[in-house]
Amino acid sequence: MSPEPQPTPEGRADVPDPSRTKPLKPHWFQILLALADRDLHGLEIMDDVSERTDGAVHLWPGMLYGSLKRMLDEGLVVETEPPEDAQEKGGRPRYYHLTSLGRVRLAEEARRLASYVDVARDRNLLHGSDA
Amino acid sequence: MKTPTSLRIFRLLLWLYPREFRDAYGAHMEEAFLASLRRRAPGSGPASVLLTWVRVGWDTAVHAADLRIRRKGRVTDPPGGPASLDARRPWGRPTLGGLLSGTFQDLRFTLRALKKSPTFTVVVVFVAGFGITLTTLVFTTVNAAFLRPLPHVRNAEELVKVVRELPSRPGQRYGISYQDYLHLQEQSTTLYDLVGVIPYHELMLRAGSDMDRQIIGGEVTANYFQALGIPMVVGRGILPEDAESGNDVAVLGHATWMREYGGSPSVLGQTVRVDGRQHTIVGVAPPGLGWLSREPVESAVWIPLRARYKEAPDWYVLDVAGRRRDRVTLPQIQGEFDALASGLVASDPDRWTEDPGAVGLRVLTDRQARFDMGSPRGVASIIIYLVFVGLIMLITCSNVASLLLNRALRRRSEIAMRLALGAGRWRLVRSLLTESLVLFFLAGSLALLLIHWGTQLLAVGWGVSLPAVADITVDVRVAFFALGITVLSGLAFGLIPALQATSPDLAPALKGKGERQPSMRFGARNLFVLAQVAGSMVLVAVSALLVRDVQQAGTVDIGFDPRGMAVASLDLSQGEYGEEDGRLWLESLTERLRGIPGVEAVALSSWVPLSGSRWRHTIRPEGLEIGPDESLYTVYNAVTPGYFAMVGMPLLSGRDFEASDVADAPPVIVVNQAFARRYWPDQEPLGRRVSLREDEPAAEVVGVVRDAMYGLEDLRSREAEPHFWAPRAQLHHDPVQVHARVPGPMGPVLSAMREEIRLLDGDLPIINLTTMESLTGKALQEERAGATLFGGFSLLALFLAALGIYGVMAHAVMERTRELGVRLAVGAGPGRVVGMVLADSLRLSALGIGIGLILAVLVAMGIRALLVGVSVLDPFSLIGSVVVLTLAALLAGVPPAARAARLDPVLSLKSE
Repeated sequence: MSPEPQPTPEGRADVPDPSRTKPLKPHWFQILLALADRDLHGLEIMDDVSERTDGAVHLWPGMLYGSLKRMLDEGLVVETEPPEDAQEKGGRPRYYHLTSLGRVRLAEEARRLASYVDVARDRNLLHGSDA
Repeated sequence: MKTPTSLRIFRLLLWLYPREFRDAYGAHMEEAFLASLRRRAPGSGPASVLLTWVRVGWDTAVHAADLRIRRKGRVTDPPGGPASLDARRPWGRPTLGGLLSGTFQDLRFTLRALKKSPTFTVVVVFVAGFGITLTTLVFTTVNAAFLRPLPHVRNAEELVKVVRELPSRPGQRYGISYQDYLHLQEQSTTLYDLVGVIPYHELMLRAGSDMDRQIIGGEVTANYFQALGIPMVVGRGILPEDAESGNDVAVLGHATWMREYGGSPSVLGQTVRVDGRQHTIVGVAPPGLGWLSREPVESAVWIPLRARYKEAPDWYVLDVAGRRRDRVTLPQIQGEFDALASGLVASDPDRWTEDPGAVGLRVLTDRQARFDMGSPRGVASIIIYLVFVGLIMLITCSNVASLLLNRALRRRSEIAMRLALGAGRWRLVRSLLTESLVLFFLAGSLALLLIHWGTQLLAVGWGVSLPAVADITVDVRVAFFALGITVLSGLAFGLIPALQATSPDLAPALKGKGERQPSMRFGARNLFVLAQVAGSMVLVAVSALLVRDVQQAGTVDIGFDPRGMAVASLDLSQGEYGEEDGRLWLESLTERLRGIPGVEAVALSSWVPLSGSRWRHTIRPEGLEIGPDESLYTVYNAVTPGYFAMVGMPLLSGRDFEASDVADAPPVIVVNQAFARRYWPDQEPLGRRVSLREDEPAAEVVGVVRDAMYGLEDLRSREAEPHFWAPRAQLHHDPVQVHARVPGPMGPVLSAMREEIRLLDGDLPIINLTTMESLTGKALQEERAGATLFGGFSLLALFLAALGIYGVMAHAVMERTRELGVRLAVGAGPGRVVGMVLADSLRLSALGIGIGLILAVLVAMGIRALLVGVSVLDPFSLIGSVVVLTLAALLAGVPPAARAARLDPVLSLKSE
């Protein structure tokens, strides 16, 4: 039995409490990270993640758009106007922009991950790096 | 992976998503899908394609389910979800939304439940997985042999084959001569782009090194590559210009290219020696390119048709096919070719006088040509394929169904409780069905993996000798077949247990008593075991018949003795010899070979019996009325004196050839008993004459030898074909088999023979140098491979059936715990209990064995054409199978019986 969702100030039942610290799913983290410094459309997100992780994380179509849809619902990203120089290919591309809530969650997750790295550094696992 | 097809499949998958999601993101997801394909599946090997699709399928299933569940959960549902409402309706009357969300709930429930009983899950998945694998593998061979269109040919479905069929030999097909091909190409209005190829030609290839290698080659008409539109890997195909300018060009098969040149593109312009002549390589064919009617060949070379085949009007060697013009029907084409055949006869009546039926032309589509429905053996092979596929699947599914039923019955209390609380029966049936579908889906995935490895295994194990499985790969058709049988069997065999387990007889189940009948009435489960035992009985008995038949063929008296004989195959046309030079060269070779220590005698012939090759000649026995349909196209061999004694074909009357039977001496022949019986029944054959050529004196029969087996057909029918022999000096041939009788060790003699041939002519390719036994063994290999395959299938079927009997007996013992406990308590010894359980197990199997026996005889009658050496009612096979099945049933009953004997009476009485 899940607890009854608490109404939030906006009156929507499904906006999560930003203070919760449940970890982000790894591929959500990667998507948000891709959007951290610029607005991108779906394929660009896929490529960014793929390149950044050396192909280790591949966003399959369902995972990519399913996650984007849910992040839209949760207010982590919003759709935005395509930039002037965007290439029109197979319909208007949907560009995504990181909201401030999304940025908070992304930073939280990055801090959480970094805390693990700190532990590793303390235990001398990363000697030779810029510790 | 071809983009349009894969995109189409992906669009179907998109329908699993909620509609508004699909509308919003469908187009973008298609783009993302295509991008994923480009990035993730650069290779097009079946493994990477399979893996990509598994990932795409998984991605779709997980996220579509997730989105649907979330959407339902948010929009209308009270806490607790929609399915609980739905479940309270008596028979559902589900809306689409309710159905879907309920299904996803079922799915999650099922996965949780299966996780809790891993043994059950693993057993079911493996049994069903093996069944699907076996069935699909058999289907794969059928697909490769019959269903798949010719690979690499542009619009292959337009192709229509043209063959010659003699009215006197229905079902046998012959090739077409080059001159007739030219005539047909010029005259036909219904077909265009007629092409011809001499398939499965043994050519000698020398590439780079100084060793000749025997290779399978095709000689093609000038337009072959252009007209078929074959895409080349490197370079170009053979062009009409090559033929016009007389260029000696060659196209390498893909495997040849990889093996000889390591796949280097710089191969273009290099030369290879094909049959002693230099050819310039102009291109490399795509992998798996085959002939017009056959399956792809592993290693090959294509060269333009050589002059000797073009000049002879009566060398019927070409496989011919043409493209059908728009809106022309097969009967119309046949009509035109009937007229063309009459035209051929009219234009050159002399050529056909001896065998007027020889020009009968028949057109068939590629598929007809492959199904080969004309011959009874073809029909029998297809029957046996279908029977085996059906039975294997039946046995597997019954097995899985009885496992599912066991599980459902064990859950009777839970099910009864849910029914009593108002759950609709439909809802419960659906959740049980979901379970069986999930299990079959897992089994199907396992099967796809096994099939991938299995086809490689098959290709390695049997590819060489079984033409039907020469190229078996998993294609879309195979994948859909596997998917189809998975879903269908999941539904069909999940439904029966589901219905039985939810039958609304609640009271006893609610009291926790399950089934109380102490007798053998377990309804549907008995039926499943019956089906399994009967199916296995058919498989085992029919396989036994097939194996026995092959064994018989192996022990049949072949009528000659291939042991202790070395054979070198040469073709003098590949050296620069005329007829006379060739004869002298062979004489000196024979002399030198006789000088090799360990060689007792040497003789020459044109071909080796039972090696797959066989030569024919049209003849006219004197004083014989020839019926219009009578084929006098008769097997012959050209040999030297001493041949018969050497190969152990005893002369029954008359004499052997002698050194005096030279070219200008009176022509003579020796015939076999079958020849004498066919043409001069009950008369003395010696001294009779046979005309071999129109303008030459007829040859006199000087000897009769005992019948022997010369080809596979003879072996299959255990009956020798009419055969005659002529002295090599009187009937010249370029190809020659040099036989040497070697009573001692073979190895040193073979190398000495190679040396001697090399010394006499270093350029003449040695096509083959081996023992005669290895050549004659080839004929039986194909049959043996087939029987081994079926034998393997039947063993697996037997194992599955035993598993089924075991399952039922184990369950029966469990349900009779109390009764058996009482018996033990009142003094029945453990031996008696064991006997009771085993007797039950036998009683259960006996009916199945009986039904199976009758079915097996029916199937055997249907495939009588395949069974030559054994009777349909062969007692050894049938009684043997009954014994094997009975033993299996007994063995399957042993573990449950042992468990019953070990029951503690006190505990089992308390179990109530």
